[in-house]
Amino acid sequence: MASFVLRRLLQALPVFAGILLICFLLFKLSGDPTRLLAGERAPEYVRESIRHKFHLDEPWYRQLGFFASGMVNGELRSYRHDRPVVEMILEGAAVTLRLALGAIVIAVAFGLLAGLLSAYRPHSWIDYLSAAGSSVGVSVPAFWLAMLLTLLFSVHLGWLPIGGYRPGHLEYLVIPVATLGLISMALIARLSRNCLMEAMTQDYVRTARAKGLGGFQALVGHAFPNALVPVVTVIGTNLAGLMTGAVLTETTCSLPGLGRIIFQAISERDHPVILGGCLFFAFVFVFVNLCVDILYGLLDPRIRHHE
Amino acid sequence: MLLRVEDLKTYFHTRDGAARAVDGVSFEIDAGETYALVGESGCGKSVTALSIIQLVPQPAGHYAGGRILYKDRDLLRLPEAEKRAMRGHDISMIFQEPMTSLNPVFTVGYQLMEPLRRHQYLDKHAARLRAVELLGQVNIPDPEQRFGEYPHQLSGGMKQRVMIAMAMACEPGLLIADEPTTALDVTIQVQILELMKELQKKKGTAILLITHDLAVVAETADRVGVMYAGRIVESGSRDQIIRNPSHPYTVKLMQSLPRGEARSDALQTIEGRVPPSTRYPAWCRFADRCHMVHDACRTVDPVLLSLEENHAAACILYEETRPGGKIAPAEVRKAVPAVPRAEAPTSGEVLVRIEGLKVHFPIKKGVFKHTVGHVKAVDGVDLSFKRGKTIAVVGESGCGKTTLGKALLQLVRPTAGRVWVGDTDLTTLSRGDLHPFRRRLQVIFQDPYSALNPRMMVGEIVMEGMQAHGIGRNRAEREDRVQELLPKVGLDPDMIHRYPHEFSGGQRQRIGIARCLAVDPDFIVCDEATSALDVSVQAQIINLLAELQKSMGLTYLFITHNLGVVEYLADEVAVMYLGRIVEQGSTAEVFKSPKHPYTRALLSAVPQIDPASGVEKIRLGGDVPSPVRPPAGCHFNPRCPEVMPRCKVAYPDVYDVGGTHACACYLYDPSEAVGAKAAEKEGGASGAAGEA
Repeated sequence: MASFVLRRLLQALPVFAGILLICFLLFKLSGDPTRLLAGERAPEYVRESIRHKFHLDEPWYRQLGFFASGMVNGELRSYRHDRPVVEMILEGAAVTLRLALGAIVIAVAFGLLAGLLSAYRPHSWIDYLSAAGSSVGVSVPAFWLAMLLTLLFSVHLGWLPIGGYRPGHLEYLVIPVATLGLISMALIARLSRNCLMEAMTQDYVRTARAKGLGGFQALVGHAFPNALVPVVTVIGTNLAGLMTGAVLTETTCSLPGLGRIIFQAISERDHPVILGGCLFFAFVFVFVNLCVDILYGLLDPRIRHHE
Repeated sequence: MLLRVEDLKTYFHTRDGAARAVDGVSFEIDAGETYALVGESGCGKSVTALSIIQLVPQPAGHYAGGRILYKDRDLLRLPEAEKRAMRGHDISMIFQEPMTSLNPVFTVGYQLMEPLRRHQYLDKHAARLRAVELLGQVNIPDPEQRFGEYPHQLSGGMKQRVMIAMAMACEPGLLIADEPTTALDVTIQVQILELMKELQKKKGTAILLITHDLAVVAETADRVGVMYAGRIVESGSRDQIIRNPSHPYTVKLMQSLPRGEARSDALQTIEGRVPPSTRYPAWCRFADRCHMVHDACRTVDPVLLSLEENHAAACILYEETRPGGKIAPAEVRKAVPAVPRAEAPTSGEVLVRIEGLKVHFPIKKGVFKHTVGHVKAVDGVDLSFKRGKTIAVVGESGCGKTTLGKALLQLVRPTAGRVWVGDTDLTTLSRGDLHPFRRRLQVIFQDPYSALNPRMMVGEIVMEGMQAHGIGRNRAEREDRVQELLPKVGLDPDMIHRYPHEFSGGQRQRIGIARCLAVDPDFIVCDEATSALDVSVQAQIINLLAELQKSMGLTYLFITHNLGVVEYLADEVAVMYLGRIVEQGSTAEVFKSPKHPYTRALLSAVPQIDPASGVEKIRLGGDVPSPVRPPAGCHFNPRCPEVMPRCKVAYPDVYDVGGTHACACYLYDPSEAVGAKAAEKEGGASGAAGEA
């Protein structure tokens, strides 16, 4: 187990180095950041001093070195806001993490429940309802759903704030969490239903029935643990996706999350923040995948013993 | 009477109407006896079993009539809660595939405790104690430790023992065993069948045995029902069915079993196939395939007619009122004419020769995936194949026989050794240089269902290889060739534009053979080519292979675990154990006087159709050891009944035991005093060992 985690973390190092290189290459291709920082009409000596301040006048390998060492010791600073990148990223991540975790908890709880009920009574009204809800869920754009919810609960009913964020006030998170949760839920409900149906046709379920277990007991007690492996994969990728890709929802609900920070950094050519964001996203994916793989091992002894 | 099935009808809703899987089946089972239902796949025997334990898949399956009385209670009319209380407690079941029948995510112990806690209301502690005791009862070594292990840590034979322990946990009145040993090796099959007999004797359990294997029936059953197309067509005691088969179907089924003593004749086959269960005719369902058919057969639906006490067959030949009178069963058996078997001419020229072939797969572990050991799948094999001959490689699963075939074909590159085709060593060739040899060396696979691409038409499948080897100048020419080829393998040339799913298993295997022949090979590896097929279809394919060998001068490497087929078909046999050949020789010599203790055990384990054959079973303890760490010395020594001290030290050389026959066992070392003893022990039956 320890050797497995260690190997996975070692494998992540070249990933981080690769991201650093690709980001750096893109920065070089994307033009001179001083034009945005100092404005189009700024005199050359002002740009020169900005370049000097951010080491942009040095050879490329030195610049790469500054990025790399700045990321490692946490001293890399934003071009525009003059704050450490780490601080900005963590501040945004705190908001996004709340959003993502809230959404995934809702999605898993209700998604699995819907999946179980649909698999227990396939082709019943509850199955069809869940199927219909899921098709709507996966097709609705997040920002549109968020706007509708805001219109209903904030504008007409006045139960919730219209947007924005204040730390410690959960009511600001209700609409974005519900939006993202509903969409992930749709996927989990359908997938878990199909995996359960598949597991119910397996020989070991027949064995369980032959031992005298009822249909629901065989479903929950024997099929469910086996059906979980692919579901856990999707939960993992969904969580990682929520951490990194909730830009539209964050924008619609004016949340100061990671998505918004990165979006802003891109439009301002704030290279250190972009780089920090990309590395953070990579870390999220590596970490979530590692957790998923560890969960596989816990769920399935064959995988556990193979490692 | 423990169980009485009366006119059971289990149908399935399908798009083509009702599929009459079980269509009026009646039989009875007494407490403590073994009743066997035999028949080929799709005849309804498994559905009968599932109907009894009330697990027919819902909602497609339904009971269209009949009664199933268990201790005078009709199971079809029990409320669901009582059915649950009955399953696993009064009636329990074990299945064909021990690999998939246990839940992979729970420990063996947990799964074993489930029925105990459910039906006997034992608390956790008591259930645990009882479960460990049960594991001991089914002869699982070290039951305390096995209790906490997961199914994948157990061998197939062990898993089936666990299944039996689970089924017997609540000491049910009836145990249904659906092909319990079909997925297991013969040496393990012996152990499992004996275990079932032993438990039956101890607990007085009745067994309903579902099987396709007449020899297993002959060795285990008390009474037998032969099923065909959803009905029982013949029933009687074991001796009546085995010695005096009377329904033409039973007769044909027995005669299509490959046997050594009938080598000179072609195998008897049953033409055609079982009619689909949605479209059974209103008359005898076997009429279209029957060698005794006459006009009257297509007018009445036969019922079971008594032939002697307890023996009945559903065939109008035995009708008293039949014009010309009732016929004697012996005439049905005689009526099948023998056809001489096709024998290939042979020049004695060596076509393919393998020398010291080794295939070792590395095992990788740790942070940097370094190699910590090797699986020695094939570990030094020499064989030479004469043109027009068949060599069979036999052995239990995991002995390396399939890897040997792949390495010969260079589908797996060998770790060491040579594969000579004429003067060329294939192991030294690059991929490009191998290309022309790929045409000459072909393979037929075990599973006709997965070996053909479901999205390609038959013609495309057969032509693909021709295209790759530049046979035929254009598509039209190749199509002409396929049209010529299909009749040779017994297929209609019009089938060229159809897809594999439209064919039966036997027909698909014929397509596989056509695909091989299309590129005009000299040498074909048949990797368990008939193992997935029913007996009657197996007979057709074996006859086809023998004919093709004669007409095209083909050479076969026949990889199989079915020793009956080997004895019938092969010229030479090589017995493999853990990557090495332990005994080799002409089929007649090896089967008549097996030398290596492993070969003897293997041959004695094969169930015999003739219960009086008097072959004493040699029981091998345990399973084939892991090829990662084969036992030191002779790999067979931990299971060998004749083990000597030196067997644990070094692997024996190959000793000549006379004729073409050679054996890697110290018993035949001329310098070993025991060698003389072993020869003596075999008496005058073979002078071969004496010469050695």
